[in-house]
Amino acid sequence: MTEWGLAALVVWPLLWGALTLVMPVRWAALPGVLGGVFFGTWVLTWAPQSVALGGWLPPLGLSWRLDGVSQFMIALVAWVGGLSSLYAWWDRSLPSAFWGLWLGVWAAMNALLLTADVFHFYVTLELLSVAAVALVALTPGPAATRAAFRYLLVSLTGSMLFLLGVALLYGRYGVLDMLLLRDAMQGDGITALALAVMTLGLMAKAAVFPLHGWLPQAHAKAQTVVSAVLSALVIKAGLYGLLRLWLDLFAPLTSQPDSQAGWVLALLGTVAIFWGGYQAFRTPALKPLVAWSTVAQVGVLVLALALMVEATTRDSDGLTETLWRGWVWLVAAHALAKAGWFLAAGTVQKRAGETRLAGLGVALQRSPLSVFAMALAVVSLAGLPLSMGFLGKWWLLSLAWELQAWLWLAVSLLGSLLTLAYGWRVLNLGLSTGHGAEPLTPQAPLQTVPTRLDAVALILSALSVLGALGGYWYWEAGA
Amino acid sequence: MTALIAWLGAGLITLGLMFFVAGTVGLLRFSPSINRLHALTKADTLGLGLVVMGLALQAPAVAVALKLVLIWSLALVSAALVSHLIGQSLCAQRRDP
Amino acid sequence: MIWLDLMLVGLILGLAWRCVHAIELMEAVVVFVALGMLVALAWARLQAPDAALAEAAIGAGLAGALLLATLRQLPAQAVRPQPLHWLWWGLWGLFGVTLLWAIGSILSTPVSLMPWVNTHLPEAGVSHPVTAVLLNFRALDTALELAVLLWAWMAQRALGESPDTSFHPVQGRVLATAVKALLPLMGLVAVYVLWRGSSAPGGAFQSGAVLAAAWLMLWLADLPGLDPRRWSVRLGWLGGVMVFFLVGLLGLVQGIGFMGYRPDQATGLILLIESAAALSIGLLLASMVLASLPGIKGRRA
Repeated sequence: MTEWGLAALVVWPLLWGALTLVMPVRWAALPGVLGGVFFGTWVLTWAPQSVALGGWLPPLGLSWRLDGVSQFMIALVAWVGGLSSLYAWWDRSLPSAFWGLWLGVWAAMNALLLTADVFHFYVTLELLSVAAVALVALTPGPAATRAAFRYLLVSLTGSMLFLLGVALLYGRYGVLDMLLLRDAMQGDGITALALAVMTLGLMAKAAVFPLHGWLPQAHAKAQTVVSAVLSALVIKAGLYGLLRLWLDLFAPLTSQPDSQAGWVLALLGTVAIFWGGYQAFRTPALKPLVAWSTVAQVGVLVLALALMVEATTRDSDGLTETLWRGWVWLVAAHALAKAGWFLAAGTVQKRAGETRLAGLGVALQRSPLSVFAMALAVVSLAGLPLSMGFLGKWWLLSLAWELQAWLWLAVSLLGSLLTLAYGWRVLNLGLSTGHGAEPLTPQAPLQTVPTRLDAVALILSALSVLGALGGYWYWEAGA
Repeated sequence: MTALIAWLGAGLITLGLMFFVAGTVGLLRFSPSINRLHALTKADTLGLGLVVMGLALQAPAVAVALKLVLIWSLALVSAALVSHLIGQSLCAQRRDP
Repeated sequence: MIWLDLMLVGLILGLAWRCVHAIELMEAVVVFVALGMLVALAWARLQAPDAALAEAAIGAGLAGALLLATLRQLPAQAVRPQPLHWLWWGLWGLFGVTLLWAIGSILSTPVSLMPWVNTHLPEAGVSHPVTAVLLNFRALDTALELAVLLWAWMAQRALGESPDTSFHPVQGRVLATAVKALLPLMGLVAVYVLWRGSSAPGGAFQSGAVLAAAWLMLWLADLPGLDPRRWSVRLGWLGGVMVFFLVGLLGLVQGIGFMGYRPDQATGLILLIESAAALSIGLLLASMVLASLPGIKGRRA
């Protein structure tokens, strides 16, 4: 039965997405989204397993592997994607082409999270990039088209680099299955080169500093719901790939006691935290601020990866339950908070008909739900106590503590502080009553935007805080 | 006998290649586009025809030789068609501005 | 033969250089098409005729048509390539040298999955190893590649209509007559390439490219052909993906596993998938080119 479910994770959204070309779009989108959420939730109840597709065992065939990481990531895609779809359903300004493209992104994400084959991973990356780039290009106007084109070029280069790595691995080991590759892996130059180019490719896709240049434009110019799913989910595809490479596929290489490669990742993550935070602090417009925040948060996730790699070099247990559970938790907190923040920011911008923070004051004050959503998102992203993000940060800090990596511990604390600083820029506008004694008056009449859009954003942000309540079930009962 | 046929084939291919070279030189050196077209079609029809004939002589079976001839005749049709279209486009451009 | 190969490599590198550094976009496109043909030759020299066919038909032919069609919509302009900083040259040079070294050391220890493929070829339902891998052993790869094509078309549609600029109408009946005469032959070739794929180089992508060319010629000759408003055409776009995945689910019903076939049905099912895929690929590729050509709406309305 679960094999039906696994197949449905990919086939269901894909077929309904394709059907949007011949059916009334929303009629195809509704079952596609509902089914996607259903199967993505159901996946949590299945036992971890491997499935050889078509009955052809690796190395000949390709196989799917469902383990804890992919289970929770698929469920995350389903929930964040489902709630974002609700927003899209109510967003009247969204072109109908969104639905087919978005269901394609969904199917590609699920296939990417399931696959245990490096070449198939590349194929899913390709489908994901094509659909994601088109989503950015949905916004009319040359600025968005330019941003989408830049995203396309970076994304394609990333794919090509990844493919090059796959070719090197195949040439060296003659297999494509991740488990077989890991067992055969030697510490030679070709393998290291493959790791380097594949990491570079995925870093471009995940917008890891210094390859983040495309992200602020692409995510800020996209339609509101597109920004949310790109920042919350699509970026995570690259990060998930990095996790698989560094802690699973190339583990024999990266977990050698004298391996220092992890520190390169840690350094890049650190620079990303500060540079992204600094840019978010000084950018004049709201959505670019949220987009730069994504650059910074990707830095946090990469730093966490680096610490995990370092942890595996110290003891030989490999990717332990504690390690991946912590990282996935951090990813989930960021995904929920970022989706909530982007949806709220987009709603406010729509209401104001304006993107610059300076002109948003009135719209912010007339959108209490959205301001509340942004506040909760900032709380979770900064990792303030009792939020979901707090548990993630706590795990990260205790990992750094165990490793006695004081520098990185300080970095992640400072990153939280920066998050509060740029988050406060927005919240301050929404909470203050005016500049000095003068009451705020709208420069232009506000657009009517239904309140239920604010409500969806609030649900996502609230989940990013209240998710902490699931902590016991996730950390203790699962272990 | 086979050696003779082989030599004949090689000679025909060489001759065909010479037409290709001449056609390419024409394509590069002639100035109005109509003249270039003229040079090009010489290479395409005569040059390719000679090469095909040379190859057909060396072909291991009659079926292969017939396939080569089919390729040549298709190339003939497409060359004529494309030249016709390019010519039309040239005429139209001359009238337009 | 080594000298010919080196010449080929030199030509490919030279053309690639020229393509990137061409001042005029038109020149870049023409050079790109020529480059595609030479790359196809290189594939043929590497004894990969399947890849050679696909590269010639799609990489050079249809990609060239797409680029030319797009070029017509751009304002006439010359692009001056930015000179590359010496640091970049150094980095790329280092990367190239490293890659050459890596490829060199891979060549000394050849490993591949070919033994496995050959062992299981009798159960695959087709006798051509490439088709067996693409349509049976790693069928999901191919199915998702088809989806990539479909989503690329979806993306193009989402980007909106092309601006409407005029064409020179073709005078006389020469083109229409020739196209009418050639059409049955093109159909025959498409079917032949598809059918041949089960035992020799060929298959859905190559056959689809031939079909796409046939549809494009119909359109060029102003004959009734491809109208995206027709239901059959819209269904044709997704037919390949739909049939592929539905057959994949059939494998689940039969207990073989997702994307699997019962060995005695494999031949027929693969042929079914390939036929649907070839039609879809042809329709999608032709639609992509037609949608980029200016004036499509005016002529069909």
